[in-house]
Amino acid sequence: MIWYKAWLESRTRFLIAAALIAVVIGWAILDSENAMRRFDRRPPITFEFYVSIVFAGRLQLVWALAVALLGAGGLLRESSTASVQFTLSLPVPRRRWTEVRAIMGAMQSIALAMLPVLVVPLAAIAIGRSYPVWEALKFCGLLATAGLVCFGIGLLCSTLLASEFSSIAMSAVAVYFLFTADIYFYRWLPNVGIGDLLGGGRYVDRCTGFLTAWPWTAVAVSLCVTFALYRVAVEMMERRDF
Amino acid sequence: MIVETRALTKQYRGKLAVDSLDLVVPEASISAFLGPNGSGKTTTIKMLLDMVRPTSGEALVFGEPASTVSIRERVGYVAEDKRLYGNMTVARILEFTRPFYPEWSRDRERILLQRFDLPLDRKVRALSKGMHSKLALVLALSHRAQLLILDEPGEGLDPVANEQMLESIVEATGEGAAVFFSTHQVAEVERIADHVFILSAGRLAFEGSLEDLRANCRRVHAVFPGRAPLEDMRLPGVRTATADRNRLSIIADGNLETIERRARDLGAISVDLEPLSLREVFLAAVAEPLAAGQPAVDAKQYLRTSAPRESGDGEGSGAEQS
Repeated sequence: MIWYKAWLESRTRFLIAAALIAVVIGWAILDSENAMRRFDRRPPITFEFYVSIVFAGRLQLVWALAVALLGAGGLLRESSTASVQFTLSLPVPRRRWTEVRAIMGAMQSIALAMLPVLVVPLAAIAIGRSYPVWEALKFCGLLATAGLVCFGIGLLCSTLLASEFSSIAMSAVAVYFLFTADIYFYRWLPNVGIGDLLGGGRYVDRCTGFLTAWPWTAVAVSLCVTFALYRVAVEMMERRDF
Repeated sequence: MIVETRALTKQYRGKLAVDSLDLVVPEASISAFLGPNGSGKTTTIKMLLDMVRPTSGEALVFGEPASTVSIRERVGYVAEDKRLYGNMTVARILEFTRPFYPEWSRDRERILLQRFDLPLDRKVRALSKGMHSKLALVLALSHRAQLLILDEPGEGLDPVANEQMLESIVEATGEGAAVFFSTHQVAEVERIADHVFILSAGRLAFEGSLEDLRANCRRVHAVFPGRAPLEDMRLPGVRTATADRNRLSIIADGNLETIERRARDLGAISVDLEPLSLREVFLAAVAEPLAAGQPAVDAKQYLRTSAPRESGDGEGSGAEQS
């Protein structure tokens, strides 16, 4: 029932985000002929390389904002709608409510990241091309794991601000700064840009457009940061008065 | 005891909401928690349910710290703000809540739903304020809780529904549950409660059974030939005392014989003792200190239930309590 409640509270945001990602990525592939022509390169870029640019570009942007949105909600938001008193009177540890919401949100974020694994190959077939599912899976897996930090930011913001709007706005700003961190910190930390990490960066083969390897260390660091954000969120909810 | 608090204190940004509260709620009783707005009733209730963490002191429910999650299986709670999950229907929120309580009774649920006439297929957000209160009661009463903590349960209810609510509370007590409810409706308390706690500015201003209150609380009117000797009437049991020239009016919750004897010893021409209603006791217990220059004793000097009422003449000791 805790899972059911977490699903009820997030399903609208999740389904809207899923539809948005499907439309954005689907359209990017269906319109690929026109889009590829706009790249003034000799020889012209391949379809596979174009897809890698889509993965590293608009998919990242839409997905990162969507998962920051999924992090919103929870007990603090409930306190603004006053149903939190009923929730906390149930024989469930407070920690459990936050845990379930975090796991549900993380699963939804991963599902959203994995959506292009279906959309890209299917849309490619629709325009008479093909794209390997395995290659799409590698890009999407990278987004889902290394990018989960965006969800962690959303989750933490939802434990700081009761207003859902303020929490989402704060998450969006934090995610923006995360993606543009390399601009501010490149002198000291040249590989800090998460956008580069999520898109595969130097691991993308310029000829084939496929990922040649996975940035395991960066993924591990990102997952650790996500877990730390989650722990801080749980502890903050534990200490709060409702 | 079902509920016990020991020096329970909650401070919000330097402001005391609950101040060293010692409370013992007896088993299988209906205990009313009275107090003016902002006196700390809801904060105390929230501390009993671990929604608010005490600054110091402790709260025990069924002898265990209030933070023990399992005790909530045995507690039915109606919050001050009865809002529930607006995106669920009445039937769905019942379905949602049932699995959390091993003792949930479908029969009890059915009876309560019929009594309160709740539309099962309606979304919670579409319910009126009164219906929210009814639904909150159904959720709190359907799992055969051993303790019902109700924060202004009658709020928003029409007189008929209010009667049904009171009936349900009494029924629950008949089945062995203890009820601890906060309210502003003194008449309700007089009808159903066994025990009363009055909170004022975060402190316990009065505590006792309604039976004791009826037996011991009196308004004492004394008329003196000259100016009424207000200061000399500071005795244990005196809660408030006001003087108007030669007339003295005292509200006392015990030690009546001593108070009467002292008034006569001081030369009172007449001394009358009148029974007090709970409302009068409540008003006396939460009375603000009177403005300087008024011919009255500062009520707060007497608002201590720990005053040694049993002492013989008790001279001075009650007045020293503050």
